[in-house]
Amino acid sequence: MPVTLVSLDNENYVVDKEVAERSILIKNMLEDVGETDSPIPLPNVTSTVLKKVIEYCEHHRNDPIQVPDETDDPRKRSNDIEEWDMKFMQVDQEMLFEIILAANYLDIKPLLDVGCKTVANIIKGKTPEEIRKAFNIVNDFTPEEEAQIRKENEWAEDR
Amino acid sequence: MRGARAAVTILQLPFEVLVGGILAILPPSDLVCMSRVCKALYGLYQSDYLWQQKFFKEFHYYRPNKTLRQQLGLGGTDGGWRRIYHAMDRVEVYTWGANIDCRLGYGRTSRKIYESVPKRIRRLDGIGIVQLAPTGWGCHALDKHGNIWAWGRIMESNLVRVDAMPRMLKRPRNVIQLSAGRQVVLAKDTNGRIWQWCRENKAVEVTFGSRSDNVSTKDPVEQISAGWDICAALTQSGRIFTWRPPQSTEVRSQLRIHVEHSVSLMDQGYDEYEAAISDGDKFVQIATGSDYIVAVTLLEKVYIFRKLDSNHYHRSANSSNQPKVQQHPFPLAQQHHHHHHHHQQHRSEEYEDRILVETSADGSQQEHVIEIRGRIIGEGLYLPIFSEALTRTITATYEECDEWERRQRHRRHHPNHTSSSAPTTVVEACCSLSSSASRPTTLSASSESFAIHHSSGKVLWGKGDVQSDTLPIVIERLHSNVSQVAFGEHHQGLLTEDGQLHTWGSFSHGALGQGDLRYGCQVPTIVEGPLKNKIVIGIGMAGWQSACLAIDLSEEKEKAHGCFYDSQSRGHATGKGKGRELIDDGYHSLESTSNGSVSGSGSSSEGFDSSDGEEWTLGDNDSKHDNLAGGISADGSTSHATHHHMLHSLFNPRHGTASTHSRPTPVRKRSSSSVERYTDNYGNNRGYHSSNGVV
Repeated sequence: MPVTLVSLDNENYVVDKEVAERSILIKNMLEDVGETDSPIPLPNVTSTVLKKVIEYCEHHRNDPIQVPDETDDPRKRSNDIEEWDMKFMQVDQEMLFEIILAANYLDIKPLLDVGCKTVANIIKGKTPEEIRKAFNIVNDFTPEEEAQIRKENEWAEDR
Repeated sequence: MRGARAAVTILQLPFEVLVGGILAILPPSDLVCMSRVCKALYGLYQSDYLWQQKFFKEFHYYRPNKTLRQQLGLGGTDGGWRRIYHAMDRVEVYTWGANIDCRLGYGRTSRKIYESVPKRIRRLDGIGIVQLAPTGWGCHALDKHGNIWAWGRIMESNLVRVDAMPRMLKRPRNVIQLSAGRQVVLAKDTNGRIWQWCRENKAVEVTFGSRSDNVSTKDPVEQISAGWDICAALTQSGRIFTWRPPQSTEVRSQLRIHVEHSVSLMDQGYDEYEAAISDGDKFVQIATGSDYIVAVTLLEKVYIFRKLDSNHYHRSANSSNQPKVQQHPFPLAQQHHHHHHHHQQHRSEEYEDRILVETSADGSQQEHVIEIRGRIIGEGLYLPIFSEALTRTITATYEECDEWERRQRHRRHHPNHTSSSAPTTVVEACCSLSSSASRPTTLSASSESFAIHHSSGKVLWGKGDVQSDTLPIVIERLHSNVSQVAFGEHHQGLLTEDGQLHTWGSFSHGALGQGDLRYGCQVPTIVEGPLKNKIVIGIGMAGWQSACLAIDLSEEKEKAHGCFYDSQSRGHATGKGKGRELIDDGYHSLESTSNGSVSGSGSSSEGFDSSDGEEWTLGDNDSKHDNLAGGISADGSTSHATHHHMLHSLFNPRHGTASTHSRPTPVRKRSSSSVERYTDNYGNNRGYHSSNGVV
């Protein structure tokens, strides 16, 4: 049975129930309401982002619903990302964060995890200055504070 | 439409996502770089939530025990989780005791046949070992990634090579629980599967339940416990499955094992002490010894199950001074006899294990399954005095325990001499135990001894031949603040909440760890040597061996006082005298602010079990301390123990143990500093996010 999702900007998307239920939020909603034809409003998600999220859910529609044990598997907890997911996440930073926010709101844990890993991989191995550049963050430390923090961190760096 | 929304930046992600999802998966070196980017990120770096998440992610199911939490100031001060995280990275493994065939794991360079002081296994530095499971001829250890390391061997056998150095086992992986008996080791992995292996180090799976219901999915195994001649698994619903360690080599190494028979509390029926079993009560903890299982229920009732072929079981079922059999509302005695009769007649059939050939789920291959059908343990024996002693005060002094020991020994050698074994009377004084069930009672056992560790901190010690009228030895009166107890063959150890290891018993090839103390030692005595100035966070004992996990905190202090206690030291101007630093290092001084009346060793372990009865323990310390002194005073070696205690507390002011608790701890106000300001503005980040008005 198809489900209609309505984005913030009033775009309608008709998807299979199976696809929509990748989102725990929607799954719970459908369970609460029961059989319904009425569209589901998603006031926190714009159409561009929703399109992207649906694309993800379509691709992963046949994945087993996440077993809690699996996330606890240390091998799978590494920052490795599947190839398709990696390509899927090759978007501009703004979109990346929007996807993360949407995944968080819609409660799609695998998508949220992939998003977080992507951001973590951007941060990895960068100097503070490079991180500032990558994320457009302003350095609000005074030189004295900066020196102090560097001193504090010395012990952690030589580990 | 999108243009109407401001572009999201990294700092506008929800706190849980940014910290719990992104920062927590970064290695510490990248986190340091992050902390230097801007004030907001610096605040996040300082947040306890980050390090807690990071710890949970990397250490899986390992949770800091009381010792660790208390020593690192968890809950009371900021940065507790970061201290724990970094400390656990530096855990060292020490072993000592019998070293025949280099089984202690140091390698083959040291050919001493015993080691009487703790010695570090350098091979395991930086591995992150979280649990030790010695077998007596070697040791298994679990690391934070769920890998198992083994050295020595599982059981004495000339056929099997000894690993002089720890090596990592290929299977099983992702282990979260480990238990070693004398000839078998059990492990539970993240998927709830149970593995068993013997000398050959080849793990086979163990499954449970009758053919029709697959227990592993419906009723997952909560706890595994390997004893000498008995293995046990406790399921969520309180069923105890028992089986024997496999005897023959082919069975050991090739087959999956399926255990059918289980016992539960409901099977135990009535006994003369309790009218009925309360609804909803079930077994929640087990421990296995030589040939028995001790089990405790949710309502803190203690039972012992013995193997059908155990001497003590036969005696208890047949002996005339056993009230349980005589006064049972049901003709249980006859049942027992009948059962025994039956059991002897059809012994071979009942005990016979079947080997079945099963097709695996996908039909591709055939699997050999050994099905263990027989029941190997008898009816449970309720231990009323142990059960009551958990919540009441029992007056038994150490001498009386000694006397009891002697009598037990005597009785063992002269089984016809039926002296009642009650050396003291039970005094129901001071039933002031307000906290129960806040933390489950835990059990530990090894060979002949078992210990019941109540949430109040009380530890009861019993022997495998315990009967319903036997009194427990109350270790808590010998030593307060016990966080773990371990037993070897003839030596015992206890770990206190302040991270000190105390041992007593016989020399046991140096397993006491107190040097060449050949006559052994009667009262719990602190183990120092290389463990001096370190905190011990876990212990393991078996046979004539001991092992422990320890963290060197002095190193951390030297390296990190500029960081962890920055807010303090900066507030106190620039003069950083080492001595002063040690005294107000913020471990406990800060805690007393949140924990008003409790001085010294107080800890409100937030996030775990905040009301785990510590206040009761601490509030009662006065009387306990008096008892301690009084109880041992007749003993010649008393000054030894107390002296140690005093010495230690003198040199190590933060180890404000119960015996020195009267020393008032200054309540120190935290001075405001630049670092704190960051934390306030950005660290409590639920505020920082909403102030941006996004989502």
